[in-house]
Amino acid sequence: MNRILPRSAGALFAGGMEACWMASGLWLLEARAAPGALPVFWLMLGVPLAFTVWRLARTLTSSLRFSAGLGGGVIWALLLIAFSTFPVDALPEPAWVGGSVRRLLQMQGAPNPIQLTALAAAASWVGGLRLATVRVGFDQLLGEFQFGLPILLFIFFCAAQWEAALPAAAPVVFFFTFFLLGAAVVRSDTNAWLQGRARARWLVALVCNAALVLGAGLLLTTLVTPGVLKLVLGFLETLWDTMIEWVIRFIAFLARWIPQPEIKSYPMTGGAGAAAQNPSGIADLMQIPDYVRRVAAFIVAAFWVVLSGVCLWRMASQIAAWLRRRMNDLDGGEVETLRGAFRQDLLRLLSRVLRRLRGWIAWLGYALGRRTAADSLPVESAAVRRLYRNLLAWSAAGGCPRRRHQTPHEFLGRLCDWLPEARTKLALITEHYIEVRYGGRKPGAEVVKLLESTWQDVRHMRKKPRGSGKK
Amino acid sequence: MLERGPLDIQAAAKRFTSNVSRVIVGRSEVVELIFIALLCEGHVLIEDVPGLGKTLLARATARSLDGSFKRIQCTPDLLPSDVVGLHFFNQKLSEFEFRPGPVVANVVLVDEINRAMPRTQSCLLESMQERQVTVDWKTFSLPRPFILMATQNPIELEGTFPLPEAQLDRFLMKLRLGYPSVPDEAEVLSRYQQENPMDRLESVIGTTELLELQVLARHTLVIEPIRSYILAVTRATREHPDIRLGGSTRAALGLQAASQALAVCRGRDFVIPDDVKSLTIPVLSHRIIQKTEARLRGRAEEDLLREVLDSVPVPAEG
Repeated sequence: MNRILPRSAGALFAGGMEACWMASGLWLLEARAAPGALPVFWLMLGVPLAFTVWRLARTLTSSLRFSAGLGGGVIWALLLIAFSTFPVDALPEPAWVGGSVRRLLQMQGAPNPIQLTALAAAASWVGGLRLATVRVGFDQLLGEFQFGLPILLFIFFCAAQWEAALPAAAPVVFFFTFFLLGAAVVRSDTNAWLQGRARARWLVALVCNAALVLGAGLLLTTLVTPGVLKLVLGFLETLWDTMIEWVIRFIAFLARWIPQPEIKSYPMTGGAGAAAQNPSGIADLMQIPDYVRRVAAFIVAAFWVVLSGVCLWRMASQIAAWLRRRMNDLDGGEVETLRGAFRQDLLRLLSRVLRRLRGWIAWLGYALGRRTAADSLPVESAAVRRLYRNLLAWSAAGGCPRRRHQTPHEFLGRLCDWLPEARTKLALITEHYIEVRYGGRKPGAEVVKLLESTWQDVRHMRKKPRGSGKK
Repeated sequence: MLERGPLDIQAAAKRFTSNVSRVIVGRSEVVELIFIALLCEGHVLIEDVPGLGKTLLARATARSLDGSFKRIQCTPDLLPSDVVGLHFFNQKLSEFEFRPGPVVANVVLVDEINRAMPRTQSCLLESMQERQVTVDWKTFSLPRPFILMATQNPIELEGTFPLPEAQLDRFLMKLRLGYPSVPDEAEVLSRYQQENPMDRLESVIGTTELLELQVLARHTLVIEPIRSYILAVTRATREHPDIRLGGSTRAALGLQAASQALAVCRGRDFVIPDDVKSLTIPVLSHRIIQKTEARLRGRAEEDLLREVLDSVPVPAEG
């Protein structure tokens, strides 16, 4: 029970951090693309609303929950479009719905305010749903901080380049406040670094990192003005042209050593023959089209941006590693491994992206007709496995997730501690699952029926208030 | 061959455990591991401080099997020919005759193995892996089942020769007995007060039956995800930052065979992740080498393996 409060509060603080960069992004979008047309405050309300909808729907089946999330998002976006674009008097008329849809799908003059509002509403809604599905512990909070800060920096960098006036101070201050408060609250239930003797050193480490990233961002924003960017891009363009010119000269030099075929000139095509005989024609043939140049310039610019980001990231992690080493040397220093910090977070992000990609590819394979081994299972076996998956999802939503390294038997022990009154029923489900999963058993239809009724009993047990069965 | 099933193995395991437990008190889990090694025909290294019953356990195991038993007491002057045997000149027949050494038996107890010199230790390599001995260019097969049980004392280092990695890798398991609890120790005193229970210990499993049970254990189902899990655990030992040398392919094979044996001992005909997890430490702990920094930090191999197990995802739903 003591852990539930910090976790819920953690979600609140993570949401606050998310709201800071999201609001900054929306302000920038409003300033740049749709001045005065985006209802930023109402859009931000989508985050807590989606969070609440998802949390309320967690007792439903997965398909109903998905429908609630999607349907809620669509209604929310439509309401926002209606109230922000059309006068209140026009809302009773159904014509506004058709008008909205038309403008939403209109490609000419895109993006228009309605499209931007729909996009922003979807983003805020998805942000809220994401918060509702993740378990916000210290690692997660740290990850939110580490990824939120570069997003904020990027937004302010763009704002500086586009000379858009954004209220920069408030989001940054709130962002840091939310993080520090969230870290303190999330770790309040354990005897961790924020309560130990090394508290001051850890705070120094955090503040140093934050100051470094902010300082670098400030320096970047101050130094990299549009004029400087233009100069750098001009330099890169000149460099590129020179390089190409030298390549062409080299090819022309080589071409001189290759025996040229005798080109006869015909009266009808005299112009073409003359052009072919002209040595400068080789240079014309090697001209790079403009769109290739633009793509190359984009790739070069992206390369420099990524390189700068990696350098900043690396510097921050080196400083943090150095501080941790220093604290390790101190007698009595309470040092705790920061799981999920810096490089690990990046690796985790990449592995998540890869996992998601693999999932999409598998889905694509499924959609194209390739069936996996799990799909070829007998119906009864598939039913038992699906039932166990439901049990896992349900217990995870209730605060008892299975860890990846736990076997079904080990997890059964945890489940029984979590729900002692369902001990025998949980054991029954687990044992049948183990036989199906690892022993290749095919259960009978009556066993599946029994397991399904047992599963329903377990679900209803949890719904009863704690202690209601005790005398 | 009789038609046997997992329940027969479970019954045999029970017979064996209760028989050995007449002389070894309160160590049923270690005795079960020994039975698993018998089912895999794997060799066992028992390591602990003196006086905790290492040799007694090995002797009780040998006595519980209806097979030939030989004991080799290792000393620094023990020669390879004292172990594998030698050709001697029979004056009556006027020809060289092979006299097998103590290694030619069903169960061989190599006591204080780390007191033998490296060349004597190395002469066991062939017999442990290939179950044969070569003397004067002639190769002799060892009787089956062939199980070697070695004991060693980790405390005394003077006059000892640490076992090379190649030899350690040939042991299926390394077991530790540990100090008994107070009630168990009191029970030992009570049982040994008037007579030695070892004197009345009888064999409960025949060698033919054991061979049949071994075949049955090898037919235990291991599904592909469990096999991948075994490989993932073994490979994770090679990638752990505190481990210099991780588990070998032979280690993975041993872990799979031992998991199969444990599954049938529990009355199942398929392996589950719990089997693999519970055998990872006995099967892998002697095959990994820690980095010096980890050793200086006082970390044990068991701790590192627990970390490895905590890092490898178990094949299950979700």
